[in-house]
Formats: sequence, structure tokens, C-alpha cells
Amino acid sequence: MPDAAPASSTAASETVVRQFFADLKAALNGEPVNPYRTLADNVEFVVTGQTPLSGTWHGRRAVMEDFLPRASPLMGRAPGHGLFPLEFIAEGNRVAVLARGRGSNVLGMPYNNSYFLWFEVEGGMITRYIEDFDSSLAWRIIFRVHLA
Amino acid sequence: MASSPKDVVREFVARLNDGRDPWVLLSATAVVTVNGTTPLSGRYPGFALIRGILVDSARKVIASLKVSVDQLIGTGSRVAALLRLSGHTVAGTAFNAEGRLCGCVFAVNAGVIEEVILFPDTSLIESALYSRRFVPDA
Repeated sequence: MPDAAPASSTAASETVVRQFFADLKAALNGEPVNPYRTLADNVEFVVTGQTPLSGTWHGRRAVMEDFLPRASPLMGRAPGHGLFPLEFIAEGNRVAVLARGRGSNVLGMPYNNSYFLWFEVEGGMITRYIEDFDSSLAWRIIFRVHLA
Repeated sequence: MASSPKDVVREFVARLNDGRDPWVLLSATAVVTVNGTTPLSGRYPGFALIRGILVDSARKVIASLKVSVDQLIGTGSRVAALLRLSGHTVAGTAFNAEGRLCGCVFAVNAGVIEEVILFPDTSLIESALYSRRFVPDA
């Protein structure tokens, strides 16, 4: 990829990614918004690590019909939960976001992780999403295991 | 001498791999943060802690490390990267042979790196480097 991308392209990509976070926040607040509406039909959706929820899903349908039904029942729900972006680093169609999460497992045990999120955007839609985080923490808290 | 922040990061990674001194591209007051809850995780400000704790601890479990840059973005002093970290443990076992990606952010100023925030695969660190297993709670 060339180093120099048009500033307008960079801004447009960042806008899409900011919308993703806004949608997620709205959905967690109970608003009737699909937080994954900015994912392209052919999105590559990657959750890093070795956990039972780590893997790659191809297409929004696979995210909605396979990943989410597996992930959602494992998470607690409470006011204040969410994924909070701290910093955006963007260039062209690629956007990296440092974020903090606040959540819990189904028993209410706090699950607060730190994230490096990678997005690639084409035609106003997210075509690649990589979720990089402390997967060891996720495994221990969400799946209620410990290290031996 | 490397010029742009991305050039500095590329040169730093090249030096990590080819044996040339990478420290010349790191500010003496640089802060390296390894995300997570592993034995290597933490915030290491300055050469003394980076070398004395992080690097020394890593050398006890990592025999060889290869770093490659898959993606590099940033239009200012902060650069985000997708990296591949792979190598062999001191026991001779390969880790991340699949070449999975991990994120990293660099802050570069005046030709040197002032901050590194690395998001490694922490479950892989626990299992591959420290031979720990994730077992169900009682």
C-alpha cells in the first residue's frame, strides 16, 4: 500500500468506524439499532486468541447467525457496559482504534478488557474487522476457567 | 537515517530481526506497554525496566523471535501496525507458526520511538511460552 492516502478517504473511513461505535453504544442502551449494520456483506470478522470464541467469520450473515448467538449468552448486561474508543489512527481505508471495554460475565463478574481494533472500509462499509485483546482474560472470565 | 514515523518503525522492526542494534531507535525514556495479564504484560518506562524486566523475562522463555509488518498506517506521529510475532521457545517449540496477526501502536518523535503498545496473543503466551493450561473452575 502507498504511504500517502487522500485525507478525504481517511476521514470517510474514520467516520464509518465512529458510526460503528455509536451504533454499538445505542444498541447497548436499548435503542433499536443493529450495531452491525456497518459490516459489509462480505466482511472478514476476526477475533484473535485461542479461546472457544476465537476465529474468523466470513460475511455478515455468519457474524449474525453464528458468532453472535455463541457470544451473546456468555455476556452479562448492565448499565454502563460498552466498548469505549480512546484513540483513532487512520489512513486511507484502514483505521486502528485503541479502546477499553466494560462488561461482565453472566454471573456479573467484571470483565474489563483493553482492545486494539483494526478496520478496513470499502464503499462505506466495514470489510475487515480484527478484534485484538487480552484473550487470556476473556477466556478466564467469560468461560470461567483458570490457569494451571 | 530513517525519516517518517513509519520509516522509523520499519527500521526498528528490521533491526529486531537482523541483529543490528534496535535500541538506537528507541528513546531512553520510551515506555513499552504489553497488554494483558500475562507474566510479560505490564508498563515498562525507560531502558532499565524494558531491558531489565521485559526483555530479560522474555529471553527466559523465547529462544528466537521474528517480527514482520503486515500493515502500517498513520499520518502523524502515531503509527498503528498489524504485526506477526513468531519464533521458538527455549524448549524448541514453535509458536505462532500460523502467522496470526497482532496489533501494535508506536509513537515516534524526532526519529525515535517514544512509546510502544503491543497487543500480543495473551492466551498463546500463557500456553506456548509458559506451558499453562486453561482448566474449568471447580
